[in-house]
Amino acid sequence: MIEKIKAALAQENIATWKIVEEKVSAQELFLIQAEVDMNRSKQVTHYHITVYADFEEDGQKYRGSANTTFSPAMTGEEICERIRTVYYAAGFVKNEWYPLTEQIVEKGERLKSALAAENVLPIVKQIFSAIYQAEGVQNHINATEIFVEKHAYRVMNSLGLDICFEQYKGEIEVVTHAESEEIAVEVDRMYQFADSRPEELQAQITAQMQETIWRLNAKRIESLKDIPVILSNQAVASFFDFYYAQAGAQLVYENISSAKIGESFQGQVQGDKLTMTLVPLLANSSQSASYDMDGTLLKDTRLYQDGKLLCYHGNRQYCSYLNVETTGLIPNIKVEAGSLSYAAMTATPHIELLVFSDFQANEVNGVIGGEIRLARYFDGKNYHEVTGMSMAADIPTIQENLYFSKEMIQYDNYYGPAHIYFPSLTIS
Amino acid sequence: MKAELSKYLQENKPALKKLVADLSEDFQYVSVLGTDTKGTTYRVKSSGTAISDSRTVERGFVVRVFNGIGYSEYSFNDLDFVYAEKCIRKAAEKDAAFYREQGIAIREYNKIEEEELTQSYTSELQIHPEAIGAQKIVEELATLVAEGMAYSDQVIELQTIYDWAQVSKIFISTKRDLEQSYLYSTGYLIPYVRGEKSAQYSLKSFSGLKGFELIEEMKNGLSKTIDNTLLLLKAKRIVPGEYEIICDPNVSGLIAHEAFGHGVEMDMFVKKRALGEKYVGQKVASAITNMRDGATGVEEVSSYLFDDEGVLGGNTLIIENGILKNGISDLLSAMALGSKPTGNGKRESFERKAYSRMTNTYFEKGKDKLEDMIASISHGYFLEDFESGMEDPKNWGIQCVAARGYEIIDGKLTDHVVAPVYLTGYVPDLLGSFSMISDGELILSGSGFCGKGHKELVKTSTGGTYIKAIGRLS
Repeated sequence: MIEKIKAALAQENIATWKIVEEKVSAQELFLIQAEVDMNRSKQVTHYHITVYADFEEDGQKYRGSANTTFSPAMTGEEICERIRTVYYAAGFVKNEWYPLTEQIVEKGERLKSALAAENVLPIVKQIFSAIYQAEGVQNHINATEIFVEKHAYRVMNSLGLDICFEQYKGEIEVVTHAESEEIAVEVDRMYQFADSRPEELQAQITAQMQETIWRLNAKRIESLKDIPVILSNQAVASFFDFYYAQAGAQLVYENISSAKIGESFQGQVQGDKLTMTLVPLLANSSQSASYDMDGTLLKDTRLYQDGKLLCYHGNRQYCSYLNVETTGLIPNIKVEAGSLSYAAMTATPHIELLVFSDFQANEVNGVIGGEIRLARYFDGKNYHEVTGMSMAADIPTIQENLYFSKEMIQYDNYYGPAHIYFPSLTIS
Repeated sequence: MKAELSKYLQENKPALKKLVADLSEDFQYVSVLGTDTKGTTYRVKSSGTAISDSRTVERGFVVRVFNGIGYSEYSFNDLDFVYAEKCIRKAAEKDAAFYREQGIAIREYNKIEEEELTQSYTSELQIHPEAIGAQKIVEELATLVAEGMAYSDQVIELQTIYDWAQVSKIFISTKRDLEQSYLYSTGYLIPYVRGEKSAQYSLKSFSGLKGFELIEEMKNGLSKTIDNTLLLLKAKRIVPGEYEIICDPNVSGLIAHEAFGHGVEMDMFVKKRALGEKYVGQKVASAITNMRDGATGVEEVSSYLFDDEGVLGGNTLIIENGILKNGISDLLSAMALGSKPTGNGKRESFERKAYSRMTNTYFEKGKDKLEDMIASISHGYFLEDFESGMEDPKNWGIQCVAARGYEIIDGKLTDHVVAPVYLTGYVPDLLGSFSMISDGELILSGSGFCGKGHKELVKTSTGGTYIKAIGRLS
């Protein structure tokens, strides 16, 4: 197929191009309670093609591009026709010129994964067992979905780049429930990973079940004014998306982010200062890879140090526009631990936010919030499970006075503090 | 003009029929869904342009068989039907046996019973985007960008997006031979503005079962979209509390979608994940409330002849005069519940499983005038456009994030803006508080994608008219 595409590109006299071949194989298991509702498997191949049209106007060089995806079933004639159409469209895309990735001599490293096995059915079974043998879940799981996928990529371009890499993606969705005579509640959570770690998974499901029980007992309260708030679970990872986005070369180029290299992004910090690193090969992240889809070889990149922005990150196009070093697109982030232990955070009255209906973190203006489905309020003597309020705040307003936990946790492509402590927020 | 069926699917139909026939010798039920969706997304902004395939572009097949106990599926996208047959046999026989041997029980289903049916459908449109070409589309969007950037010094960027997708599908089983092709367009205006202290942006969407004629709606909406975004620069956070509210058709639609759209997806009944199952026949909303979901009720982005399981689309009456009447269902969930499938079995793509999903979901119009509704409020908020929503079918919690709210004081709309506005609460309380519903045109928006839990994004539309209610805002 690749030769067929290359031939079509040559036939259409297209000198500059990129081809990403993506082969996906998957085993999927869908369960209602503990019974298989359906089993599925999948083998597909996609060819993602980008064609570039170079032109000049008033002495200024431009590079237009357009992309399309082919299935392996396309005929030579269809490929030629589509490439012709896409190249024609690329001619109307008037973007500043930027270079493509050149041939790479250095080879990227690989992470080992049990999900790389030829037959992944035993892995699916292992995951099933980890979930259904977690503490307290017997007869408390409504539904589970298990996906084990292997993605094999080959990235080629007209400058002779030709690299291969694989990604392993495990994904499960588990719905735990609990009921009393009055009500029934559930907690629905996704887990993503790249390796088989049944003990870790089992511990996570056990914790999810505990939260489900807490939710069953949760009472509605009106509001809590000016109270210390602890953010926990996956919302913590979403919180840092704002910092990742604001340091992105594309947002800076588009003037949407005003983040400046060498300046403190966090303002006059009284609490913990943010130190964040992009890590291409983060163990157990389903997004780990040595290369991005431009074929850029990725390396560990320190983005923020003590609240100060050290560099922008992004693909070759936008880094070239800003005249900064191309980092490539690195989706994994590592945030350094903070100064407060979880024990210290929870020693005085506070509310810990555990489950949101949908925690939102706006990457442009830093607004965060959502409806709280489960929180634990500590009044100084006793814990109270509460529900039904909502939280809303602006990161730019609160970032000078927040604390990260010493305890670390991983949620797929995030590795960092397990909790964030805000000394004073209103929950209403 | 008609959206013609994919030649690729037509040419491969005999091979698919042979695959179904061959597998039918060993399996009591066999079906194949073939998909071929083409389309393009054009993004034009002052800092650059991008042209790519539309998000829903796909070409491939999914074969489903009854394995004697339940159902197995295999998704593929090449034309090696011999290999595909081998793979679905493996999934239905060896893989299913592996799970049984490992002590994992298989849920029992009956064989799917179908009636003989051969039908075809193609949608109508005015201007096919392929016919008008990339240059014209980029030029039109660039003109919008230029106008938007010149509108105010505070506009720092304006992103315009036009996206079209032509969906072609065929469904072959031993008794069914169905084919359909329809084209929908979506458009977005996304201004970014900067004030002294902060940057803000908003998103205004346009959609329909139509072609590039949608651009006229985008042109007409430009100045209001930028005005609304500029207002965000002086927007304040709302003082949390319970208020009388008026929801515009977008927010009304979001409430319908989150409350009794997700709440009556009947695969959730099978999993005992939805409270709605126990409330069929009971009051769940005020007596003036009527709500529907269906592929055939209105013409929007999720209007089709048949769903992804070969069941004809319908127009389900979900709430009638405040009483919960029916849920929406995929084929297997209907079998499990002993009900009739409603044509709501949808897949994110041929690569994914089918679930009970919404199509076009809306509150039916009422008899009130919008101006009377506003005049009836002494202090409240007019909620306009939405950012996101989240369902909780098990507990009937609801979260809708409106893009902005305008304060209503003494029956008059003011320019005091609050943003964003979180509308949260208990579904029957919110729907039970509906006191006025406006007459006039039913307005639906099909610009976004709807997820099931945290994934499985499919095209849906939502809407209604203006609704007056009482809501907890923060």
